Amino acid sequence: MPAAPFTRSALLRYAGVALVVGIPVLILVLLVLYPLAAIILQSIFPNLYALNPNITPSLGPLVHVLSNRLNYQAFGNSLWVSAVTALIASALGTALAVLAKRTDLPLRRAMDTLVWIVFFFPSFLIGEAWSLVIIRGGIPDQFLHFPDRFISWFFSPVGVIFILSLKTFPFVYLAVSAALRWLGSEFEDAARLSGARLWRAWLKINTPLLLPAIFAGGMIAFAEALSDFGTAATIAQSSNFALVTYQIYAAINTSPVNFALAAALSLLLFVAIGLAMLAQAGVQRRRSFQVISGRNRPARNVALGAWKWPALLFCALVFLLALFIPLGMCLVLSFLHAFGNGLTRSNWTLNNYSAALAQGSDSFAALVRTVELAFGAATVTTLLGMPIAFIIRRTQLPGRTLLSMFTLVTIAVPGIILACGYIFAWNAPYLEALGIGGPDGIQFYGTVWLLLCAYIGGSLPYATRLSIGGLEQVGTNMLETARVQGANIFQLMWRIVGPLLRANLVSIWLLVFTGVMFELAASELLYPPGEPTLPVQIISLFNDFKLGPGMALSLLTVAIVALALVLLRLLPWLVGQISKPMQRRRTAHVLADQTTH
Amino acid sequence: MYLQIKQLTKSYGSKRVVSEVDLSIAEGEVLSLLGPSGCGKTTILRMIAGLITPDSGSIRVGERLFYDGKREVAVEDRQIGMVFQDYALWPHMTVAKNIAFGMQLRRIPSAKIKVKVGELLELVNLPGMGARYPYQLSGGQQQRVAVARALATEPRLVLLDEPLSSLDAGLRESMRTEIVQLFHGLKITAINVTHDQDEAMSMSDRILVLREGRVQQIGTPTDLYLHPVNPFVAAFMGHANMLAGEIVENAASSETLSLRLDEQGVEEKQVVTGQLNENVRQHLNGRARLLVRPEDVRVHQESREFAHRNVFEGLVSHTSFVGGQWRTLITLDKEQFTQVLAYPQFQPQIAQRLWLELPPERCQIVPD
Repeated sequence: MPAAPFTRSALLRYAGVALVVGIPVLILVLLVLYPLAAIILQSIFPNLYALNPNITPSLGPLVHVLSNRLNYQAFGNSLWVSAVTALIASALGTALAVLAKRTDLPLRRAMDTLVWIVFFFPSFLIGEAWSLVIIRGGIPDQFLHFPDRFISWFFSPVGVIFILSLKTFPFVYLAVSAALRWLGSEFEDAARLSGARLWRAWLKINTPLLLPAIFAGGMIAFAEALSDFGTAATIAQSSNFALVTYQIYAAINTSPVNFALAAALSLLLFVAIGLAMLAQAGVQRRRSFQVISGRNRPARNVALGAWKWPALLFCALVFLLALFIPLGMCLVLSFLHAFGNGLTRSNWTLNNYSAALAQGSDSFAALVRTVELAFGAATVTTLLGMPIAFIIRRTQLPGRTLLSMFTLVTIAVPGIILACGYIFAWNAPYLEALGIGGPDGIQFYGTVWLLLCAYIGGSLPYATRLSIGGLEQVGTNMLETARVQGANIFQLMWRIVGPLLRANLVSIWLLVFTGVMFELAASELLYPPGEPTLPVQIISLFNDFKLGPGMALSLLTVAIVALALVLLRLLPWLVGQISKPMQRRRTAHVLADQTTH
Repeated sequence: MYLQIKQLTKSYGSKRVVSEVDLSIAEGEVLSLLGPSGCGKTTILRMIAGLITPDSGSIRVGERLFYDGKREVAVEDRQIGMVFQDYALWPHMTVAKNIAFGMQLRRIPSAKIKVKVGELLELVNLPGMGARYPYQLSGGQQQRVAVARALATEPRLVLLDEPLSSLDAGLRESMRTEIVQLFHGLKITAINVTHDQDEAMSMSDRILVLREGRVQQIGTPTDLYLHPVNPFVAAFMGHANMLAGEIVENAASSETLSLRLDEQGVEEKQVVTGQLNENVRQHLNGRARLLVRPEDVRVHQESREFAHRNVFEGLVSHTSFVGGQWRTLITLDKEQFTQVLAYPQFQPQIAQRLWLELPPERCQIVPD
């Protein structure tokens, strides 16, 4: 091709590459890589981010921190609690997935929806709700009079594991459900034709084939439990049980501020989570597993017979514990004046809601602020994730493997670690030389913009991985056709990839939106003074024992998320339903054409 | 009869997928269920296997009643071998373990199993491959393992669910003969499901043609090709030139029959004659089609005197050289919408005028 660097189309092409490749990668570097690197730097150069920075390297503080009994105990607590949680979540998730996807369980079609609701329900709310269910003097206690032993048994690691298991089993459920779709029933049918009874076919054939998916789901549950802050900040706190995420938060948020401790614990936590995620990705790449993946196979449902009712009871119990009891508790409390007065007639009120929705109130301001932030973060992340996924899967650009690894390792970076990194990275004294921060520079640290960036940084890796998943469904030939037709990279993104991934992008948007609406850890550390987000406001109401207003605000948050879900999911479905008769007529026409040959 | 199916019916919701199917198979026979996708052939196969429960009807194999509307033998107790469409080899087991699984369930001593696995691998031309995993094998090799696994428990009936559809064209052809020879050698009764008429014709002793869950015709491959009982079977078994018309006279004993063709805008409609097979006669009902296979059409470049009335004039609309022959489409003057496929002995030119002779002894009457 003749060199013509200044023609209009060439300029457009360069601009397109800069827009589609440069900006997303730059943002990924600034919002994820740089803050995480800052944690490592802080661990090696303890005085880098101090008031009088110097770069004398030393591992002293790191060693000192780790030799402190309280710290390594918190880390150890987190590890074993998460391991037990992962085991319970694996058992629960697998059982529910098999019951929902491969049996004739009544109401099995409702299971997916219920699991997604549990998935979206924030752990701080479940943790707080369960604390209030079991607490001495709580509403159930007023009727049931729990024995002391039961209450002290619950407010211990037992309660923490209980909440975390209920919160993390959806990850296993989703992984196993997907695996069951690939598995179909042919492997099992082949075993039965060879003479194996149903139970033996499941034991010898289906169980080994599902193990990688169960393990992968369990690993994600482990990583999620490890990085969970909502439980650590609620029920674990009330149980005086130290978890590492809360320890990091305390190191930064209580004076004297201990950056070295926060960095060291974050680093350890990050390594543990990174290893779990790598193990998870490694299992899914195993050859023998790939043989059965990639295509959905037909499946026959197992008739449960007499086991139908015990199985249904089991499922009902799981969702009762994970969803209906905590949600019910939230609902009841949101309509009560005072928690201690119980369910008397004079105690019912709507004031909690009207207070939360009053113009000019702190709660209402937090509501508006959070919705704006969630909307912005979801939109930006969705738009950025797609081109990064495209670079990783559909281009030959150098460094794309590295990029892929990076998004994979950072997919589960807990908000608390990222926020910690943001404090080091974006409040660093050396930034003043660049005109950021300081009395005369651009104000970034301590503004809502920092919070927005943290939300984007926290969700960009998983938005990218989800986009990759969607992109793999789109054949390369469709993209190549567009290139041959003369589309530049920007047009390719905007006109071909985007529309093809529409459903996928809507899901990602909803996921990020919901995630931000309920994000607690990063918000706690990074919210601008006097401008809390919803979860921060809710937790602070809980801490002041203003349970009614807190619950009312929580349920309003849930309602907003539900509304977003309904709007984005139901509208396309409705439009589809209305236009369906028309489509059916069209396909019937095509079919008629084909049969006349 | 070794296998007997009576009035087998299955519906999904309001859609009847299999409708009152009757079928008998002799021991050692290889039968194909042939039809377009969605015709119910796989459903019939899976009902015989016990993977789908019929709505009504009965299935009897050998001395045993598998299903009769009240009782149903469980899948694992039917002692049937089955080869699945994409093999369903257990990916976490080696080839040897895949084959040994059923024998282990029957508590056969492991030394004996080892010998048997070796024999089966020899039989399917995969000696020494026992230690491999399925993903280390090619498609054709996986297919052979699937056959070996189906034979391991020494079933007398083997079901094949489109066993060759995942293979490439060349391999498919050689596997057809290989599988049939294997089954005939072992005297195993086999039912093969396929949508490919070539495969059905080359593999089966008899073929059952299905359409929308109903049996269209059962017979030997030759029978179905030469004497189809309706236009669907005629077209499904190979390219069929068909001309529709009304039956002129129907003498009960005659071996031939004449049709008055439905020619539009023509005063005197052409009458043509074809052979009427004994089995086909019972399906006659006033209207019929004249069927002539492309290889039987004689093509002439000029008009001449013919001894019969089965002659048409037309123009060449398309021609291509395929498989050493001139594959030519000719549009008939009198039937503008009918193109006849023929293989002339010479290279025709586009728009050339040709005379087509459809020899009455090579034409068949197909009831409409």
